Amino acid sequence: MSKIELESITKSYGPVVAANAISTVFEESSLTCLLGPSGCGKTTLLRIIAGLETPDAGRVLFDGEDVTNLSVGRRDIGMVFQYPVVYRGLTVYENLELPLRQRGGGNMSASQRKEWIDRLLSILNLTARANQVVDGLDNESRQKVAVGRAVVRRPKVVIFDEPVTNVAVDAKIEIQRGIKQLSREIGQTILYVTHDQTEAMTLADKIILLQSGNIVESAKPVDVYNNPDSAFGGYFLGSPGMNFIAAELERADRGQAPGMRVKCSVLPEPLWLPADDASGDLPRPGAALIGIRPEEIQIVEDGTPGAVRGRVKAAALVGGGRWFLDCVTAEGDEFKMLSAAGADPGGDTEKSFLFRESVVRLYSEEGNRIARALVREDADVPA
Amino acid sequence: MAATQHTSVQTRVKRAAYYLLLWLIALIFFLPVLWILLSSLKSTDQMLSSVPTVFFEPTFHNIVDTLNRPEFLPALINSVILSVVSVVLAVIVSFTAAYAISRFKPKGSDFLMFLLLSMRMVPAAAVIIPLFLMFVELHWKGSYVGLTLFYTMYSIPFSLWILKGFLDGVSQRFDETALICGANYLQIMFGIILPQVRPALIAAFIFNVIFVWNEFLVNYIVGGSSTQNVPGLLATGMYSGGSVDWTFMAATTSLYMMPVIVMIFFFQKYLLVGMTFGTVRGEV
Repeated sequence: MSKIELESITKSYGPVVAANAISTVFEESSLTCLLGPSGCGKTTLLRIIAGLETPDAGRVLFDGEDVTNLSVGRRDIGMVFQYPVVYRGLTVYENLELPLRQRGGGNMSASQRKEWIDRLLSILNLTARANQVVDGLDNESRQKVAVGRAVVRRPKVVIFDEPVTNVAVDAKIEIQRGIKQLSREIGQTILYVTHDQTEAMTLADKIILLQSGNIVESAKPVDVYNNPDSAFGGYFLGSPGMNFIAAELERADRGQAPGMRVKCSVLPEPLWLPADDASGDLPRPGAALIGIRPEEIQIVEDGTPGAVRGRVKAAALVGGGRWFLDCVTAEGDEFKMLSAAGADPGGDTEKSFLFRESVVRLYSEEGNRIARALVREDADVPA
Repeated sequence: MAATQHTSVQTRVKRAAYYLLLWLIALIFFLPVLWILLSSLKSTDQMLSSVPTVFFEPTFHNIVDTLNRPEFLPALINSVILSVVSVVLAVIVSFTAAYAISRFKPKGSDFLMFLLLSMRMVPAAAVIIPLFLMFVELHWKGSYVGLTLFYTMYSIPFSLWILKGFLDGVSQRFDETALICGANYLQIMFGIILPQVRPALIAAFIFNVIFVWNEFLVNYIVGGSSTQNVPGLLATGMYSGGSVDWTFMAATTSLYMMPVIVMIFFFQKYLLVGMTFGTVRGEV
């Protein structure tokens, strides 16, 4: 129920930079997933927001109020860790009731309190175990209790630090569903750290992708997936991640319209990048990368127009009759693709591949996005 | 089929032989205890006969006699007070110290832990004379305060080691969750963390109680007649009329062993925790 702003948060542990002047905003009542490989600084960022770590520099603001130096207990947050923290010797119900007794429960009557806890228990599917002492519970149920206890006070912000990493699949879905439902009902601002991209895609209103203490992507899940700002983002999201194939940029104006020609071994005809579609000026001519998702590549009949020849090096069944293929073009550029359901394409076979031109994205050699889409050189230039 | 049956018979015979051997070893160790227990139920003549009497009519005469001795009950009460008070104090001090060392890791705490434990390696006989002189100067000779503090000091290192090992195994996420809920460190320590390490607290308590319960030397030298515990009474009361009073010895020992044996019987699962310095964890 609070808007959280980070202003140039910096934190290092010796030579390791966990947060490099990070500035971002977590909108009120939104669910933001922080995603990234191990050691990218996502947990550090959450712990700074919670007040469990102090930043070396920068400010944390809750609803415009500076809380950087406010103690953990006064920030009004809830937190769930990977490790399920439950208070032993108490029942499930008592575990949820405890934070309300401690503080913040003053403005709730006894009957309201009971009603609210019962509601939480039912959302988390714990009603049958309400009176069971937590000591005897399995890991999954303990984590549900921890989730319930974190939100029971209706804090301004709830922070989840990989809450379902150690949980079996069934319970994982149940907990995720519970969190989603709770976030809708209470309207809390939720920050959710995970290294599981599917989880982030399912839950998030916004995804923030971190790499070595820097934010590299920050957008809606669908945008991060379809049009990542960086090659790292494209590679990290998706299973397998986006393919990046070497391309060549050269200046090629079309009449009065300045533009660049993009040549690549997977494109039988070069594509064209008009100047006004690029971010800023025209990019430097020379080496670049094109990005294309594995599911945007198809195996087609030999002789299909626009197809390029290549070889399937290895195939692995991924379920649902689909195959994960490791391929290489005739010119030696490697790429990965997901085949449509069908028979085993077999390893080490020659095939024709069709790359969907309409979704080819252009990145600089350093991995920064230049363009979301390219056009055919003979296509009409948009006015 | 025949082969597997053959193997299973062989395994069973082997296992039976192992158990027999183990039982025999256990019995050898149990024999002195059995001898004391049986002796406490025998008359003086039966006890001292050169051919040990195996079958006899048990008598509670010795036990009743011991209980009626005016010096027995005060000594037993002293034993209870000294061991329970000093060990409870030691466990409280150790728990708070172990929490601080485990969570805040002050500089030099590893060396401190080593230093504390090495104190336990000094034989009591080596320090008894300086201790005596110190206690005389402090006017602690023969006082409960002096003995209790000494036993507390002596019980701390071991308790600290067990508890530190256990606390290291309790996730810091417990502390952080409680901090977020607005608890202070005292509430976290005693309300949240203490229930998590209950097995270690019990283990530390039992091990040190056994030690203080059976302590003789310090009690005998720096204690006084008013603080004498049962081992002290055994040493001084064993002689009567120029010879050893065997029935008194057997009866007192049997009575004295009972509370500890009962305690161990009920809490035996915690002993493993203590014997491994808390390195064997899990749900006890």
